[in-house]
Amino acid sequence: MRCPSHENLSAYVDRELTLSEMQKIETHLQDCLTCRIEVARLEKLIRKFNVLAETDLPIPNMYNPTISRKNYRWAAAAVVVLLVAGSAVFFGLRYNQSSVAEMEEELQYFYNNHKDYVRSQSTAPITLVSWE
Amino acid sequence: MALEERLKDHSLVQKLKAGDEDAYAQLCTEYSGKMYRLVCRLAGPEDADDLVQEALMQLYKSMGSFKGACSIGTWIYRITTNVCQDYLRKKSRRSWRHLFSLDWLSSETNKEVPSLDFEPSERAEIRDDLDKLRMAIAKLPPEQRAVLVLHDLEQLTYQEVADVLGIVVGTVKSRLFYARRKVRSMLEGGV
Ligand SMILES: [Zn+2]
Repeated sequence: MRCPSHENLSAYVDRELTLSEMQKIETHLQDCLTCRIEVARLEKLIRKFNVLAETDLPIPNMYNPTISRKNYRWAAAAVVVLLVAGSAVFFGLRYNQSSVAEMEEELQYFYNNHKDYVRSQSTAPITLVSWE
Repeated sequence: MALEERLKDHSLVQKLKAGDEDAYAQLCTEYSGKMYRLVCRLAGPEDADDLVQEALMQLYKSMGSFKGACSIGTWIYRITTNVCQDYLRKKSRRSWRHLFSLDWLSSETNKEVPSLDFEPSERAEIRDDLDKLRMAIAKLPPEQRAVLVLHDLEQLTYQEVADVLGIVVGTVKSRLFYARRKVRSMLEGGV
């Protein structure tokens, strides 16, 4: 068997080929040092991605559901706040030092007051585009 | 697969289809952090809060029309990546340096490499490489970055990535290959 393309070796490492393609490559790897080296390099890169995925990007408290049991109200309300009251109100609330409970209360107030407005705005279809 | 577990929540799907606001709120709780992280990875941190809010709003708007044809996870990832793509189009003249500041690329990384399965020498190498790795990902063309982030960092399958981005599996496979090759050459070339 000729050496598989590097693209196929990349998919092989992800186990995203058909069973028979996987088996062909496995057999080939037993006899081909060049491809074994390529696979090892890919696996090493993917281990780095795995570490990056685990260590990277702490999620800010405002998005952390464990901060408050009722945090979901914040999330739902924040959408409404942004929609009806503009980002100034939203960022004002975010950056002041009020407790989560106070924040929830204020946002809940907005949410309750603007629910009908949001509903009336909620008919626009979402157009999804393709990343071609 | 982490995504898979969440997709099975049929009662949540039913509630969303019925326009249940509590179900929407539950969705926000569960996903807004993940959406924030995805947005930062795809489009940089500068406008991430706004983009998450935009995505949450689009989720809210489309809640009633969600038919459950795809999984909830795919639907959320799709709307979020869609918002990012619009944003990146508008910012198309800006270089990656404007989207991903050098400070951000190096400062927010928690450098504690998990001890599992690594030889000490590889651990040290990985720790040294994390900043370079993030920068290399930031430098990729947006469509390659999207595939690499969704597969290699968010750990979606090829089919899930294809569904999220509206492309075919073969395109996922080739874009991922080119993206990895570029990242690797940037790592080896010292970026
Ligand atoms: Zn070979």
